[in-house]
Amino acid sequence: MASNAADKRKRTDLLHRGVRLAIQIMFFILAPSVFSAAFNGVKYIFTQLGVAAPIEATSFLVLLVGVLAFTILFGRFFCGFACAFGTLGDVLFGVFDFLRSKTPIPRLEFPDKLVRALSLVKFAILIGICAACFFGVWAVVSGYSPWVAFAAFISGSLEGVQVAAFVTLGLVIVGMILRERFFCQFLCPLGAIFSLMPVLGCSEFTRTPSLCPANCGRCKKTCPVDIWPDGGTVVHGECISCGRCADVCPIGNINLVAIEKPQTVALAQVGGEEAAAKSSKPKRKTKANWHLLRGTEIPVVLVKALLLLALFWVLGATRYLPAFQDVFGFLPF
Amino acid sequence: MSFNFSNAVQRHQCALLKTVSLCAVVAILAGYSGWAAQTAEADALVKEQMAEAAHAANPGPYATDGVFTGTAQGYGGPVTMQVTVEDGWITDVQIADASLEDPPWLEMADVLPERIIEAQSPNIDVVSGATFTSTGILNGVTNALIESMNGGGANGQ
Repeated sequence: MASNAADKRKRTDLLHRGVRLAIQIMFFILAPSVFSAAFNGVKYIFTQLGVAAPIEATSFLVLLVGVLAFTILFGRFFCGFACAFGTLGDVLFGVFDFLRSKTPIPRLEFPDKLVRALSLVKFAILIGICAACFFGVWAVVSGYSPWVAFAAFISGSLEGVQVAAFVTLGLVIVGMILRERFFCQFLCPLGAIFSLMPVLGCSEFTRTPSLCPANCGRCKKTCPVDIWPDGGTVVHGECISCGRCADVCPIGNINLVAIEKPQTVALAQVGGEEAAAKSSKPKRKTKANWHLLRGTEIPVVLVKALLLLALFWVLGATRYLPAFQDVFGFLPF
Repeated sequence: MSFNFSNAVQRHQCALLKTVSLCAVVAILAGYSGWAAQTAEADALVKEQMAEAAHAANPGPYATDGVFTGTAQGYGGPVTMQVTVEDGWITDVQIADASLEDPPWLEMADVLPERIIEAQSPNIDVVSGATFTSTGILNGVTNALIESMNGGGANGQ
């Protein structure tokens, strides 16, 4: 029975990973530039501040506000499912992870303290870019931006892109191959902003640590950004909402929403010491005694993905789709 | 019931701190932007008057008057620019065709025609983030102005 349940969990995990990859590829094709466009909104704000010019609702800024609002409502779903640069990293890491069994390509494992320290580098990069825009020297710095080189590949035109940008992109790609979500976790300036966003409690993966079996830690081991899924903590700002922790948990302890049903609590109190002792033992969260929303269910993920795609489409940030104005031209705005 | 009180307080504080900071940032930016909009309007008026006075007194640096077009590679394809030269000064810059550019980037680069007129030259900084579209616009204008320097060619009127 136990191995049956474990097999079923593995199959579900694999299926959910497949769905996630499919969504990532869809966003890669339809909206490959949203991450840089949204970050341009940040650069725009600081460029304007530097020359004491007003901040207007330009398309980049509106896209930035849209993506940040989506993050407040649904967590960093954008990072986990829609960011083209994140997808590039996931695909590269995945392909090389497959090759790793046959070749001596290492996999970088860092101790927790080093990971936390390196996670701060992205804030330094964010501050540096904002300062460069504020002082009007961004044009010089952008020659080293891996995103400019990436945009050149997406557009198919390498004209006017400095060699330095391709060198940086190359180094970042090496990092992506050696360590999952290397760029997102340590270097991404947009990720730095996302990690400071407040997120609705019902959109954060959370566990009940008292139910966890001793020495398990599978959630943290599988987490691409090395965190415990304890929504609301400062470190949890790093969570990219991929949902892998929830799928590997052997007792279904990690969920977006988990509220213990009142009748089981009441029952435990009425039953006295014996029942209390029973209920304090580690147990599975089941639908019988908990209100549960795992958060990795395929319909839930699809609804979020379609909402995000619709947001990008309305804001004119998608490719290959008919323009929003062409379809809804009869609307008064 | 498994409910850790100190944990919940910590979660609550973190979310509250983040929310308050976010609101503060938004309020500061909105306040700043209102102030900057007023100042910018006054500045623009002064600049325009000074430029008008300068253009009335002297002929500008561009050899031939007329409406010229120039094309250059942008992000998604060619960008065609239309430049009007009067008394040797650039008086108007229009994006004649940029149908292959992505709309958000084109909108960001849309400030360039005004800046070209202000600088009387396409040798200005690109819009950060819209490098490729900007380059298309600036090079398109350069090509149009080469027409002007060469005496108009087929485009001169």
